[in-house]
Amino acid sequence: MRKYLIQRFIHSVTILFGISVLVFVLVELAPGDVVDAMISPEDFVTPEVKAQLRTELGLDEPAPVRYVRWLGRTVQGDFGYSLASRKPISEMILARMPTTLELVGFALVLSVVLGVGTGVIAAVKQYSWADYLATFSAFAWLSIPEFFLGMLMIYLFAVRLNWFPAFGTSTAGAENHLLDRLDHLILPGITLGLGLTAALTRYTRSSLIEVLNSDYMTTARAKGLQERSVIVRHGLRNALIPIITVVAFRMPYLISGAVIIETVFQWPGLGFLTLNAATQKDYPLIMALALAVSVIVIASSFVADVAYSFIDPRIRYGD
Amino acid sequence: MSVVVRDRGMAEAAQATLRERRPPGFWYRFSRHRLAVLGMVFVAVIGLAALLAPWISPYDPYAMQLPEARLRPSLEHPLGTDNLGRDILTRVLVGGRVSIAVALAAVAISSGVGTVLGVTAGYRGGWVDSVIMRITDMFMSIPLFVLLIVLVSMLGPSKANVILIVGLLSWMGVARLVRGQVLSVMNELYIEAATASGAPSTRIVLRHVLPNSFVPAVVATTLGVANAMLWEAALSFLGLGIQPPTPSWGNMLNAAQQLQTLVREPWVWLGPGGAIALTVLSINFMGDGLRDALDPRARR
Repeated sequence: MRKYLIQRFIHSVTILFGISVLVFVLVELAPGDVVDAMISPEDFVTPEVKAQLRTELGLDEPAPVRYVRWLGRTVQGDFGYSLASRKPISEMILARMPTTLELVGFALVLSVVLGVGTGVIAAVKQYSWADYLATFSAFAWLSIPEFFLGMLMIYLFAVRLNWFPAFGTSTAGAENHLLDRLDHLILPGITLGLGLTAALTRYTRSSLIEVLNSDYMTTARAKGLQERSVIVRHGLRNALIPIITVVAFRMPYLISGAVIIETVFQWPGLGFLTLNAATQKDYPLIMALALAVSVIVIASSFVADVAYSFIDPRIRYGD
Repeated sequence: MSVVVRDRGMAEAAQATLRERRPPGFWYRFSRHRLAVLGMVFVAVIGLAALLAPWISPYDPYAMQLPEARLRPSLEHPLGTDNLGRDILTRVLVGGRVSIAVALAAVAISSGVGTVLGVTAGYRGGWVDSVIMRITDMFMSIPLFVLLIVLVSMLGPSKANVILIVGLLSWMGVARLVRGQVLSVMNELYIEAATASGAPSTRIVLRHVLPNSFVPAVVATTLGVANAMLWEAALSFLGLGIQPPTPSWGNMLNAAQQLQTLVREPWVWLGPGGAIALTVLSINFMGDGLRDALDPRARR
């Protein structure tokens, strides 16, 4: 067990290291450097002054040296300053993190409940109209672009029916009002979560169908257990194991989706920040955001792996 | 009996099993999947319409017609007009050309890269395999859309860049599938026979490994087109993809970021959005049908 966890941990760290190199190289390849970005073209600055600035900032050192330095600072949580706003990047990210986690967390919980629920119904009533409807709509949710779905949601439920607010995280003046925040979460949360819901519906369905056909299900029924408890206690429990993998596997999609959803719903989180950073070519900020988001994704997939090994003894003791 | 003759005999036998293994009546099985057929028909229709757009539509997709601006859908303009008075149906068709072409080109890149990496990993094995698979893992655990945005903002938004970046960021599925398939093909007798007869590895890979590792890649490639289309649309929607005035399905939705358009002129974004959704859905159904038709054992 410990060996497995250590292996998984090393694997995660290797991947993170790879990502950090990738991000660093990308920013290296980008045209212009920090000095060019800091000085607007209207200011008359001689090349000598620029060269001196570069020396002061350590930009004339070879790339590997700068990488190690940058990594050292990054590990300590120092991402430097944003070019556009001149604020410390770590502060900017920390300030926005809860907003994004609120949205992603809500979408995650919602889609697990909806997706697993629908999947169970579809599996238990295989080949019924409910099954066809669930399978078909799962396909549809995976095919509709999230931003288009978001627009449809806003148009239908905010503009036409006026059921939910469309934009922002809360009504001005009611920032700490729980129900108001929840009200604002509904539309973006559902929109963001539908992709995962669809994936979970499909996996729950096929996984449960497989389990329902296994011998121990017949045994459970033969013992005279009620159908409901057969399905929940014996069926769903075993079917849930691969579902954790699906959640972990879809995490990058969920986070990627947040970038778009936050733009559509004007949700002031990390995704919104990423898009702004990209349009303003704020490279240090982009670099930090890409890393921060990757850390979230890799950490959650590590947690999923650990949870997986706790639930399924075959992984703990197998090879 | 000389080695050469034996090899030929085995190769023929292998060819025979191959022929047997190819499911009899591929089209029959595909046609049983009604949604897949429907999807194929839809893709064919929209593809043809996009291709023939200049001959179908009487309107110019680029020319401004300000007196005609923001018209509701009518007989003359089945999907209405946009804020510059351009016919939306015409722009959806022309935009479809761009979106479909970009997706196909991106997938050509990603399938090519994926196949080369997958075959190399599976055929070489050892450390080459480990390194390639680690890199694949890495790319699979990055939130790719964030990387996509970073790259596009660096290289600048253009059609070529979108194709290149989307292509180079979506080869992982194909690479994994092809590698898995190559590994199982490598255990087949005909590979042993070819190796024993002294065939050079390029020949083994090209003649035996690749053709037999093809099927899962076909399905992944089909689904990849849908995925590339979604990515192009998302990028263009954010203003980082195909740049106006060239229409693409995604950048036509960009207009709807304005509140007035979103709220008062839904036809402006319903047309292109519906086109993306229906096309992607159709391709996904096609992929599903292909999977069932190509590999009846994998039927769920």
